[in-house]
Amino acid sequence: MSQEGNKFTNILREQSQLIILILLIVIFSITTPNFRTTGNFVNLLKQVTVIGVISCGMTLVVITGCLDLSVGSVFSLLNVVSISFQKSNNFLGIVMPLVLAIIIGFLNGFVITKFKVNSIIATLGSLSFYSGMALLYTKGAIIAGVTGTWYGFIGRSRLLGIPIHVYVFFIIAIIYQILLNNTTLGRKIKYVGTNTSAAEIAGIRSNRIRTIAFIISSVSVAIAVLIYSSRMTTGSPVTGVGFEFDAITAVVIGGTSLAGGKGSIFKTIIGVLLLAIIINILTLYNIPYAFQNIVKGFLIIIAIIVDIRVRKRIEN
Amino acid sequence: MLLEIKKVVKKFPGTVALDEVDFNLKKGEIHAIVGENGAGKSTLMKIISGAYKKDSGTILFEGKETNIGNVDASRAIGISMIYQELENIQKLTVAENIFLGKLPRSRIPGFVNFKKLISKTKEILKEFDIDIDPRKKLASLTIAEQQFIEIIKAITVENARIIIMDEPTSSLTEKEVEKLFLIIKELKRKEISVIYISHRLDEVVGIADRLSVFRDAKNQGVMEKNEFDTNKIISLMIGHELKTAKKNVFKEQKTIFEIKKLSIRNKIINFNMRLHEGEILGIAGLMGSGKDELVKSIVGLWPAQSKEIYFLGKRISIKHPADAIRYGIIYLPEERKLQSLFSDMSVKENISPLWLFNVENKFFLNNKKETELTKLYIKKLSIKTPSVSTIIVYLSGGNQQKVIFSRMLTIKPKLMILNDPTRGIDVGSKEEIYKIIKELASEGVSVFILSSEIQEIIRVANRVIVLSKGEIRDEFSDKDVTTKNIIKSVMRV
Repeated sequence: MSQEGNKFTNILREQSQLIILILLIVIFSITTPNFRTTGNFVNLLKQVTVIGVISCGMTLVVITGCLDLSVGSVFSLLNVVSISFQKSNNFLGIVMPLVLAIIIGFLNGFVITKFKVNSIIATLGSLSFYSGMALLYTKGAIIAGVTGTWYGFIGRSRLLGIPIHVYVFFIIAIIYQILLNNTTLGRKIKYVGTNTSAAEIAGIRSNRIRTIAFIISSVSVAIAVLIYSSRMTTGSPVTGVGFEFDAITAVVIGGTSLAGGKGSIFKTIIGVLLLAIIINILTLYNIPYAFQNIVKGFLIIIAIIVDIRVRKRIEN
Repeated sequence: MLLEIKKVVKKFPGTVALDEVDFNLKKGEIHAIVGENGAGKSTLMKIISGAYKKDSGTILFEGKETNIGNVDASRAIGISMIYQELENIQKLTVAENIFLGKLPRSRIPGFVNFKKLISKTKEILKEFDIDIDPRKKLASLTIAEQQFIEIIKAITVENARIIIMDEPTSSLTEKEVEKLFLIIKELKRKEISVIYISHRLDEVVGIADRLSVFRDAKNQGVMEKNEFDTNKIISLMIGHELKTAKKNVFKEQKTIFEIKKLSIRNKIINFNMRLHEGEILGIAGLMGSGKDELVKSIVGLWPAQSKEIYFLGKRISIKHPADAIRYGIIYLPEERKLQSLFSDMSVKENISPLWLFNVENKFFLNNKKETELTKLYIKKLSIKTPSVSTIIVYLSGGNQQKVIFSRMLTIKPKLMILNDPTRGIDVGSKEEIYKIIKELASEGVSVFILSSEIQEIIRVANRVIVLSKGEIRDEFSDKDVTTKNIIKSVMRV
């Protein structure tokens, strides 16, 4: 094959998710009139911001070779905390979830790195722990905040017809992408994920780097909570149930390897959009909710198989 | 003859591992094989035990030609290799391990007759005068005891007639060695043959009936027990003394680095050593001598019970490699792929980490500067790579190692600790690495060097210490750094 041809197939391979995304948009735009409306696109973007921001944080954790399963229940907890403080003080309603997120992320990282606990098991523990805390905090009730204040700005205002939080999502994504590709911290994250012992010998304190990744993940959850709470002004101890699954699915579909070391925020965003479009189409065709879960489960397994096969090919 | 090997050849890409090797083994004899690393001993054993296939030559077992194609075939004719890394199953008991695959059945189908299992095991253990409870989990035994169990399993359950032992005493205490020798003598009495590979000449001379010396992929000669002579064995191993390349005459200058009172659990007690500016210090010793743990503990990769490190006269504390790097002390690990390489990253990303976080040290990366740095070192060490962004695994082993050397050089190190710096790379690249090491030393960098090949240490070191059981046994400098001196010292028990 010619050099040119090789280059072309390489691009096809590396950007396969983007190509699939574009193909899906084109196909659904032709087959489904409801899909191609501006309203539906804005709606779609509106729906992805919360999971999108969480997925950006999750991407960094996955690149260090870990997983953060606690994001869903942390979301619920921070949601009810934010609203309960917002009732008396908007400012506290914003600051409290952020502070709490830093503590939670640190604790996740501490348990995983200090005691060498597998991150899946450790965050499975915190998943249960924080969901219990969230239920305890409101005694299982849904709580309402005060509407009509500047707390609702991110969630309810629009700029050029597009909700502010969509901009927030894209700005966060850009910041994380720069963090990952253009800073020493991002490079350290990649080194640790690629080969932890080589990184240690090169003087990188991998425990510290992993802990920072978990803090970033929790803080991303806090930012997602602020977007959500600002829009809804209600808090429920079960809002975040299943978010960890959606975030991990988006990251993996995007092509970030679960083996660590490799990945990008840009790809995760494609993963988030792919997932959202597929769900959107199912909804437009009135396919029962249960099918969404079946499709999601199917997708994540396909994505993981592809990830493993790609890695094997590289190794050979 | 029980086993006869005639003109066996085995080639690997770039090297001949066995060059028309002859070897034979009598029934019930203990036949020792000695030789330096890379002399071909292990390759031959792997062919006998079926792990490798020979390229040509013949193997006769009881006078009949046999083609040992794989490990199972080798086991089936009664050849059993006792590996250095033991294969036993840690979670099972002693009895279960011995009878694995042939557990005595109970009258109820599908169940094991434990009573019989235990009593049978007790019987066998008694035969070898080994005092271990058969119900004990294997994980709770010492390494020596686990080895005994593996030998017993091989001869009782697998009916082995040839037992191959590769460095069986490397991690054993003196008492355990004595016990092992009693077991070997018992094997001999039962007319089982033993091939015994070891670096410890005194041990070998004591236990073996015959002895083969391997060098340069050949069997250099077989000796009978009454001909054993340590000096003769050593000169056969070395061949003629290699003309060592001319060394920089080393004049003692200022002490740059000093270790005091280093102790490592079960390995090293109260170790003291100093290193001068621009000096290349070789550390020689057998497996289990504590040399690996010694250098790892210096950079904080192995826990020390006590350790005092003085750098340029000042006491410093190193708990993590990052601390060492701050003082310009840098460690090159022995396993390139597992401990050095960032495999799916580029040449650039593999050269830059130390520089990025210790020299450049800015929050934002400077892609241009990083590329320039990479190009500089590609030129300086003549690394053969299509581009700075080529993925490191596409380079040859030698070029990969030059990338890792570049990584260390980017911080202008003061002390380099090199653990097997040329493992698995071609001869040409080896020479280049030696040249780099010597140049660095002449610029004032101090070097510790460990190697699996003694010749390598002799090539580059100004001074060599021989380590045995965690203590300095001998020290040689300048003219006394010769193959003969060091091999003699290393192999003495």
